[in-house]
Amino acid sequence: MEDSDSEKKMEKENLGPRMDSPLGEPEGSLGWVLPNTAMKKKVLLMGKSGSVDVEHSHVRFLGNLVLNLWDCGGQDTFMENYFTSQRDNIFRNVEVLIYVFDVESRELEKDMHYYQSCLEAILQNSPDAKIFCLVHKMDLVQEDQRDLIFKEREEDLRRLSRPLECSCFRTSIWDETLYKAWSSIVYQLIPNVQQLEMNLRNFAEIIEADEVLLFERATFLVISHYQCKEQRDAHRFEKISNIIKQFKLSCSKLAASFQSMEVRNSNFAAFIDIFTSNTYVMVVMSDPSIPSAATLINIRNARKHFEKLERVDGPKQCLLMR
Amino acid sequence: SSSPAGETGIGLRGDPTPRRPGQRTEERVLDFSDPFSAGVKPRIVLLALRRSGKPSIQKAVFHRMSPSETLFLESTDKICRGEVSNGSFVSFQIWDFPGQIDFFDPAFDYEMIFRGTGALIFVIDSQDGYVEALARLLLTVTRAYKVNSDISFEVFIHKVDGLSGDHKIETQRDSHQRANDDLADAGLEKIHLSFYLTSMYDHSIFEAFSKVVQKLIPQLPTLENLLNIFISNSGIEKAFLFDVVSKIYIATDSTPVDMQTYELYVVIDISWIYGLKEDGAGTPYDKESAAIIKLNNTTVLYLKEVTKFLALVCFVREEIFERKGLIEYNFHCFWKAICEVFEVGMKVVKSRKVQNQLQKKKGATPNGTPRVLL
Repeated sequence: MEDSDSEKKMEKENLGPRMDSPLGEPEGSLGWVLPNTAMKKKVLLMGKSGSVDVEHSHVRFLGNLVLNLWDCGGQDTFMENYFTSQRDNIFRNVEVLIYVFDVESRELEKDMHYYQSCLEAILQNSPDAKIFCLVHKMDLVQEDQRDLIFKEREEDLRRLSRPLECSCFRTSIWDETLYKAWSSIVYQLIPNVQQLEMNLRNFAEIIEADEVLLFERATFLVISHYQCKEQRDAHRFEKISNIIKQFKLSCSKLAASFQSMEVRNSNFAAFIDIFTSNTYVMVVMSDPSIPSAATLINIRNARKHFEKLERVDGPKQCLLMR
Repeated sequence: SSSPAGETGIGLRGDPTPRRPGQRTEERVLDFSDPFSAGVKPRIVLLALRRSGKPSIQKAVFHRMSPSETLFLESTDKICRGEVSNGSFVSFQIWDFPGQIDFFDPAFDYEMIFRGTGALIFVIDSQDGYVEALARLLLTVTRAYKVNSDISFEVFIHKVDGLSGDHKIETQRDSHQRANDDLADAGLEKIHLSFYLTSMYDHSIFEAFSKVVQKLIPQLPTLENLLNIFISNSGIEKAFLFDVVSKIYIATDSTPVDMQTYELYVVIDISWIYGLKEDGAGTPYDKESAAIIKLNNTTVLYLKEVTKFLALVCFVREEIFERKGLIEYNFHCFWKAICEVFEVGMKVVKSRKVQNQLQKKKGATPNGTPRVLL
């Protein structure tokens, strides 16, 4: 992905806190950034982010997005000081802000106050950033209350966020909602995702696949899928993501990484392979009469087509679309 | 960290068909009370002293198995028993009990169990100190030996991940020495104990299990031979015969094992999601189960079903794997040979059973001639 000219002109700066910051290591803060990331766009994860599964913290995804995590569950005075002195640095070049709220928080006022400070900083430094709010730990709310409480929070947040717009998700680590939220967020960051989906559908139909999944390459989040056939397991996306991530992890312990995979039994054959520079694809076939070589050739040919799509509609297009 | 969805059971294992109460499977017909079944399936009893209320060894081996593969039996309020038999080549019974309890509780028929056991694994928690555990070990071994002198006795010194290299070796040597001294004092020098250092955090526990299981397989030399022939004729670097359920390999070729085990769960886990029929019938691992995994270090991992319990896992160089047709043909020959090997085992067992039944019948045959043993 190429950066636009204006970004290239920006000077290198000290972005984000380093581990040896003069203010010391704040409790609960996971600030980390790559050096020389002046050209890179940031994803800020803030609020009560400590309770959110963030293995992605070390990952650059979608080519040039870097994840910065800030857990604001900690010390207040630190937050005030740090925000004031480092504020512009933190909030510059932000592509996405994800703010996590604990649904059970006893300090709603304070949470909202911090949130609004962040939004002010965003408005000043990265006004085009996309804002996502996670109303987290929904499992702690009684089931019959969840819709109501979420709607209330969502309304409050929308109101407080103006003139900026935010999308809200209700999440919990105990079901698929958090995974879906992450997927949705990443989905919205993919340049030209609708066209990608249309092409995916055509692809799936041409090769007579049962299902085709598209993963973001680093996080293995399912960002898009097309199914030609009803599938038994509604939770399969998160499961597949986890299965593959576990496998990747075990490979990395042996200083190897997997490139592609074919798994089959008498009822199915699944093919997982690198697709474009940002994605992996998984093709599921249930017709045993189709030889695997045919499917592999189809994937290879489709790859060329999808690469072209990704190149043509790169970040320039994305900026224009805003 | 792994997703909590996995911990609550929504995660990786899919929705295996729960065992119906009273359901008997083919494997359960051959239970521990049948001494001849030892000829078919290696039977292992694991004894673990439980500290701080948490069964650890069970988790180490069986935490990845689905409910239909493991069965946690009714326990007394203290002793926890688990069994792995269904779908597994190896039959495990795990006993996990707190330190204070009298192991030889009359509620369990120890004699029957020991009679049918091939190997007894005693698990000692290295972080708890082992002197007391060794005393229990001596007691257990003595009693078991009296019932069945063919049992192989294995000691796992577990959780050694907390110890330094020298400390590990010292622990192993010291406990081995003490145990042998105790046995000698009791006049039981002929009992042989094998010691292993194990940890859940690397593959040492599975390596140790492999060694224990391999001792119990009479067909092992033949299996190893077949694997050697197969790999040398196919250009394969390394091959294992894995028990799909326990992920323990029961045989490998003669090239050195360097403890590189890739997580093969990926194959079964994906098969759980997509590999069942629309109505949920079928099993994730079946006759056509296979996988090809290409790694970036030019190695290909090739998995093929051999029996309903066992899978062949090979490591092949990428350029060799291009001759896939040759490998598949050789695999077919290998597969036929393996089936023959196990068929022979089954025949032996069946004929022994028949003999046993004949022996039990009293009295003469219908035409008056006395019964003759074959």
